[in-house]
Amino acid sequence: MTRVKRRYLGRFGDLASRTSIYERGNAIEVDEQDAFHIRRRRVFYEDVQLVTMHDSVGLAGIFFGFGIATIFLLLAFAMGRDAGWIMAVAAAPFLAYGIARLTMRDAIITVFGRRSKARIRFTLSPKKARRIYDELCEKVRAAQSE
Amino acid sequence: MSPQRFVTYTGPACPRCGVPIALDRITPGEDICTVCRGFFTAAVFRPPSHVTRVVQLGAEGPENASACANHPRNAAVTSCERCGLFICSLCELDLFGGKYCPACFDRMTQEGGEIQKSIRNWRGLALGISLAGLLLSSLMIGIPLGFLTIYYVIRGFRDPERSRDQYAGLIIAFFLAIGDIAIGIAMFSEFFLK
Ligand SMILES: [Zn+2]
Ligand SMILES: [Zn+2]
Ligand SMILES: [Zn+2]
Repeated sequence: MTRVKRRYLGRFGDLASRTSIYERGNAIEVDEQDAFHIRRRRVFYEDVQLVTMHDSVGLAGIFFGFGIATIFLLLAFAMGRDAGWIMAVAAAPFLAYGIARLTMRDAIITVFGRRSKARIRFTLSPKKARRIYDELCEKVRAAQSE
Repeated sequence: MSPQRFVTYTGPACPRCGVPIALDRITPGEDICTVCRGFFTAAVFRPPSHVTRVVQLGAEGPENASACANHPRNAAVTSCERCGLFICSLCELDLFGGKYCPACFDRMTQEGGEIQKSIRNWRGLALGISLAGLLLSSLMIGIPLGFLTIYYVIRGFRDPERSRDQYAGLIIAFFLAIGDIAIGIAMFSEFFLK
């Protein structure tokens, strides 16, 4: 068995599972993680029927950004004028992150194979999503025209 | 590992709402789902059916649609679940309850295929054990758990399948492990060396 080096493409996580997605040779490799194990499966380029890309609101990221910012801001008010500004400064990047996630939607790429699918979420990087989408389509086309 | 998850996979679908869509009904480029009215960008592919290729190879034999692709004289009893090739009872191979042709069977067993393969999640183990060590550190269990974490971190970094996205988790686990051990030693000296 030869070991082709794999390239990290991205992640996808939802309530049910967390997955990391890689490219290895002629396939997309999906590592689905639970606490102690990784279940690995592949979607071969030559088996791909459909590749899609759509935008999605990243609720978890928005809640994370505004949630942490709120905690810091509450602390800032609680600490008053003397030390409160430190907390306000700490809140700023989280607030900015929350606003960024709210305004810039996530891009999700889904690759449908014959027997299974793979999914990648891109946050704050729509250009990268587009690049990977084009690249995957190109590779599928190449694999299927052989 | 049971391939149960794949039983629920029904092929091309709307990426937003998951309702199955036939490939012919998808407009390449921009498409709208008729059910959820959501937009998505789509590229449709027609994976070559391996059947036609093999039938051409065996075209010299008696032309019969239900002949085994590898043995033109044998009648096919089923078709491969992965490539759709007609196969006779000689060629038919069982894998996780499915029927596959020899080529697909080899591919799936050798490369991991689409069959799920279970592997140790070193990062998950390292993070889990180091956090447990932190919670239990007052009981001095943090010391062995810290060393166990360091072992998992080393395994994680030496894993030939490792990839860069796992490094952050492993490094965090390593520092947590140092914390586990330090707190454990502090507790130990507090109780026994006074
Ligand atoms: Zn839909
Ligand atoms: Zn087959
Ligand atoms: Zn046969």
